[in-house]
Amino acid sequence: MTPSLSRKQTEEMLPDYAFGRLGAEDSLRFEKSIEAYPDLSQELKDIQGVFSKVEKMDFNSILENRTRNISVRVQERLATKNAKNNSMSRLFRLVIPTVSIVALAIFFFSSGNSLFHSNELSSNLDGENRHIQVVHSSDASILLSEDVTLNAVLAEVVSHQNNNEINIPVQDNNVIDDLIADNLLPETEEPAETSPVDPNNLWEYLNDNEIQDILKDLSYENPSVL
Amino acid sequence: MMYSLTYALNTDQEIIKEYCTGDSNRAATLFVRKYQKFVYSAALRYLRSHDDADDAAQEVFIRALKNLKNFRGDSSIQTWLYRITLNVCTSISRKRKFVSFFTHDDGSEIELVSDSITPQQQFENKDFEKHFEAMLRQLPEKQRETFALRYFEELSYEEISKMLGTSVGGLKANYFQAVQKLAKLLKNSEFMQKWERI
Repeated sequence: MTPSLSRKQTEEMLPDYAFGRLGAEDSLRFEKSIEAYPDLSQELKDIQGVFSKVEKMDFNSILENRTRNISVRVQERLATKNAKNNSMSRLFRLVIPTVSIVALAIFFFSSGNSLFHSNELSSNLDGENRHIQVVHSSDASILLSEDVTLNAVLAEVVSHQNNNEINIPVQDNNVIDDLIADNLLPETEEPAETSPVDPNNLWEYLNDNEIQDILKDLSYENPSVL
Repeated sequence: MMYSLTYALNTDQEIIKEYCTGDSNRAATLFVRKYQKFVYSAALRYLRSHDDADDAAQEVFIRALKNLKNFRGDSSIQTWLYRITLNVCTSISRKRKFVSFFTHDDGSEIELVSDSITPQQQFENKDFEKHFEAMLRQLPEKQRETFALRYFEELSYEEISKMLGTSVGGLKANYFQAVQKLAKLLKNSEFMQKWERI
């Protein structure tokens, strides 16, 4: 009798037949074929004998027991993740724009403030205020950065003298220079060899207080200036 | 109520539709309940630790539910979940190796015990599980996975072929060899001889 299945095909069907997972038609073909392979018949008996014990083990209930709370824990973790995502999206929707607006406001406020000082200084020069007010170092630095010397400033003041009743005699330049030199002397007693103080650019070495002192002294020496 | 809903949402497509358009919480619960044993046991085979398998199963379902709306159905849900499980297990295994490198933890922990059985049965099950797990570990990975997916999960060869990327013919050969080896190991095991005496 020629088997309907080859040995390889019979081997491949053996486990499913042993565990009762072959269809009726395939089972019949297998039973007919295995008779031709006695060693496989013996193997089938061994497998069925051993696995009959394994089949008694209730793997399903063990797994059922182990996995019974997974769905609850998954839902909890999902809820936690969603809550985190919501808080993050709230952060992006509300907090970040608010912080940006505040930062921009601070930036514009600080920019406007320095702009205000610049306007104040120029209004002083334009003579709208008829006296010299406190001049901040930032303003001085603006003037100096634009390479504006004291003489140029004074010349600007003199040019407005008719309108503003400010009168600065030309010889006062020497007085001012002397005052600046007097104020700078303590700091320039030991000048660095590489950067000696340039008398023509003495304004660069002044701070707020020194400028104020010079202006006060200037008003004492020549009250008609202010 | 849950029973009737489970009955109503029988297929994967129905569960996905319910998840996308209806009660997503309930659909998610049904989805997890349907596949939790499959995912957990696959994770357990790879990680050999119940705690890790539990963490892995949760992570698998979180990833799956996050992407369930985009599931195109090119493969079955089970195949898709199996691939996610492998990715998650690989990631956890890598982390565990890194941790055990510093803590000298061998990470071996297999103890399948159900709370609903008697102490005697628990003892027998525990004993047998240890033996059976040790035997499964002696098989090459392809044979072990083929055996587990066919014997425990009762999946078709076509489905397993998609999961493992092996031809159906190769899987049948693997399955036969796995069963053959396990039968020999079980027959000669101390556990089986003791069981036969009882």
